[in-house]
Amino acid sequence: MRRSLGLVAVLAALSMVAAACGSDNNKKSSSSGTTVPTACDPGTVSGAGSTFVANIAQQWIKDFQSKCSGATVTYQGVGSGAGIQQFTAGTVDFGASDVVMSAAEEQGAVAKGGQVSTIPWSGGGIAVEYNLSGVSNLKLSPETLAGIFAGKIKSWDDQAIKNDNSGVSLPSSGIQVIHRSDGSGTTAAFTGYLAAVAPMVWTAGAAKDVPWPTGQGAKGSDGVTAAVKQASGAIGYAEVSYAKGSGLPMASIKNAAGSFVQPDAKNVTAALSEAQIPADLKIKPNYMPTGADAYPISTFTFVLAYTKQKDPAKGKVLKDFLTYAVGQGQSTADMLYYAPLPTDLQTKDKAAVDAIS
Amino acid sequence: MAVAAPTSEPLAPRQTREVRRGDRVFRGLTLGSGLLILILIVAIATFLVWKAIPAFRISGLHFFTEKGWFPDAKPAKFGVAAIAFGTVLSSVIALILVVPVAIGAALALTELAPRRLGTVGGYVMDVLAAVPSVVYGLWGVFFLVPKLIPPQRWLSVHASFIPLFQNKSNTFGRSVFAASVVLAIMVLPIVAAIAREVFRQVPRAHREAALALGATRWETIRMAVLPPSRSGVVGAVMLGLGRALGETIAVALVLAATFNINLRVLEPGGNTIAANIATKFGEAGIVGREALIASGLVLFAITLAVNMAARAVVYRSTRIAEGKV
Repeated sequence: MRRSLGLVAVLAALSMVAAACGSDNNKKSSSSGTTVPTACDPGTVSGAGSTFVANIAQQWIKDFQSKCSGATVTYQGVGSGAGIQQFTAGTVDFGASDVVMSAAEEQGAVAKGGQVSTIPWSGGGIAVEYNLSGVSNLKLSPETLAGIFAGKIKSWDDQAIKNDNSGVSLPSSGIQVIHRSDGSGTTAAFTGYLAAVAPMVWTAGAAKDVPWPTGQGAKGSDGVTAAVKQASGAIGYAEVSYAKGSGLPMASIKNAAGSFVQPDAKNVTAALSEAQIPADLKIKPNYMPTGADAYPISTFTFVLAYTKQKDPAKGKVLKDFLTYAVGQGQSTADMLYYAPLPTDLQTKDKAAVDAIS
Repeated sequence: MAVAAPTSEPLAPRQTREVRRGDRVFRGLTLGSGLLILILIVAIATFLVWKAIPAFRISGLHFFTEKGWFPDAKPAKFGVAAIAFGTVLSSVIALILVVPVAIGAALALTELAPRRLGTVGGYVMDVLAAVPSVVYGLWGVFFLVPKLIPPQRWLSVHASFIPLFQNKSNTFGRSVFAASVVLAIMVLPIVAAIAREVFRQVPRAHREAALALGATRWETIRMAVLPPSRSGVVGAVMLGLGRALGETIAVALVLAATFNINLRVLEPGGNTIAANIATKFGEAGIVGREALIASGLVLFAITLAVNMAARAVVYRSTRIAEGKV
């Protein structure tokens, strides 16, 4: 009896020590394969940030690593804010964010590792998904959409919605607005669009998180999509891939040319190509594209890397990977419901990647 | 199971030295473990206070009155009023749902069920207690919340004379009530499992004495089982409350995350401190992170306060009970 008690105490103490020490996170150690490297350089780079870009980033990593044996790239979709934080703290080699760093954030990063290259490396459309029995091709003008999310349009048979959808019989049920409960680059792009196209109606500002005038929050794009799917009469927004995956219909949004368009990859790219490319590549989407096919609610997402790499071996792998991502990698965008970057932007991105040394 | 332990084991004199060494090691280990816990609590509190100070500087006393959460906005505006309220409200409702069921289940397993059934039931309870909370959260979101819509609608129609059950929004689903039900299901096995162990510690002789005096089953439970178990059961409920207050991911998945103080628990909305930390941390900026840590400090304080209050209640009630005997 006494002996077993002592044993228990020892075990308990040991397990405590183990728990205290077991805080190591799952960083992959550089697994140097025995295979001879091909044209590209061996080594390991890690990145973290935007969840928006996570799907395509994983695809790029898979394709890149199959081409470059010996090179290992890891990416964790922890959120843009956390990505910037980890990049600045130096725990990852590159960060990814849906919005460019604020001046203060950039100062912090520059103080740590010198000049930062901000490169737009992917883009995508944000779908307005809805759950309304009997209606499968909802059309919304910017003012109507803003009115719904501002809580000014409360029922589906409101005159504004009727005007956008002539000839469609709309139910009189109430509208349930679903938005993100977590901070999100998707929200930043969506509210950025609303604030740009309907400033009189949408007054809650444009940010990763805004004081929503109405509706319910849900965690993540998957949470928003699930909530919309569960509630009849609900409307929400999410990256196109989530809406496609759930089978929910997506509203056609009226663009500046006056046509109602779906967020197909080519329509998103059409809108992205109308954005002005600034010299520092901190590109802002053009929410009022004039192309007839352009889907207006679209956004860029950025990769952050130090222009002067401290570890030349890592720097080479990172450069190889980014060259692949902004070049060849763009062709996988369509398949994953992202939009390939416009070709002139790809060229400028390539030059920015080349400048990393 | 209440086999009386041997009261004393007289030691042979020549074993004394050996035993003393063992005693010393054991004493050292237990003391070390105890101190480690104290050190951990102090370290956590220090870290929270240290990291939270910048956020308190920015918000001042508004931290306790402001409802919204926009620490990274241009004029930063954030406070714990709504989320602290939601934390306490959802946990209290969960406990109201849990305590009678958990005690009932524990009594059924120890006092009423045949021994074999009691053992099997105990195992099942322990398994439920070990299910990870994210599983409860996902199950809650995708299965339970839709199933809870009709009962919530019914309550809002038939029980709306109670202000708590009014629903002016006429939408149902991801409400504080739904989150509380998920919390209750998560907390139930913990409370019931501990309560069962506590009830089992009551010596069988007490029950037999009560029965011999002609007490019914219920009277036996009330006179012989419940009074000596009081502090243990309160401890079980406190552990459950601790889990409910701090539950993060299940609540974050279920709640509609609006920042308001609303007692109408059937309306979608509400948020808790832990869920807010889980949802906002990924995209939080510099001020945002500090503000979230400050809210963590508030949660820490709430949990400590509730625990201490419960201890005080138990202490007083046992003293009164003992004074009467």
